[in-house]
Amino acid sequence: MRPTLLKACCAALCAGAAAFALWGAPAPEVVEHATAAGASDIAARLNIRNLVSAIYLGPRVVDTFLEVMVVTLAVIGMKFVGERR
Amino acid sequence: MTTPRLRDSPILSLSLRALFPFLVLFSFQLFSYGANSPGGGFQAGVVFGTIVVVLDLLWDRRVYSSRFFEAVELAGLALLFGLFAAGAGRTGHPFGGFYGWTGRGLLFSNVFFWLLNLAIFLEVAGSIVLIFRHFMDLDHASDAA
Repeated sequence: MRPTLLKACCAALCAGAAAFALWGAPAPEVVEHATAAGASDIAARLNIRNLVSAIYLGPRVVDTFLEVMVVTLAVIGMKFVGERR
Repeated sequence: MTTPRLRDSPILSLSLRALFPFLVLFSFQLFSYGANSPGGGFQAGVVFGTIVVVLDLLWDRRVYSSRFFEAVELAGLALLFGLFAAGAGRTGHPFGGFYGWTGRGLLFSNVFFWLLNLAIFLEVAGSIVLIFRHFMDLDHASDAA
């Protein structure tokens, strides 16, 4: 991918994320599930057995999404460094 | 006298060649059953990426082309952003609205979780290999300079 196009894609991605964060939908209602029983309730409702998955792909799915974006940004960063050399 | 290199070891080469299909299957199992057993898309992607990287090192050539892994990564990103946008469009919240998409059996007990794990698996597997290969390219470039 050409550097200019890559930069434009990154800028569009960042602008889109910022726009969504600033003017997107109102924040969802905060529901506390502080106990293991709470996590177990979520897993039962989702019909899954792994409590860890129930949390990181359930209430914390946006965290997981952003963690995956970190890996993507690392690839883009490495591409930039390689092209500069 | 030349120092023997790790990649010249026939034991390592043979054992990794034999293990490769099983590790690929294992990574598929990790993401497919991530909702119901230990594992998930991230771990599966790391397992897959690591075995490709090790084989790259051992055979001194690329197991699959970087273009293939770019396509894999882009497919993962497209699926992830698609699920993000579909949820946001349907309920107003990212990834929202599809959690009730449950099925029968362990594999598809929650179809949405399976899709999320698949997207993360593709993205991470592609990224791990690409990051490693960029490092290798930089290393070769600095050796040549």
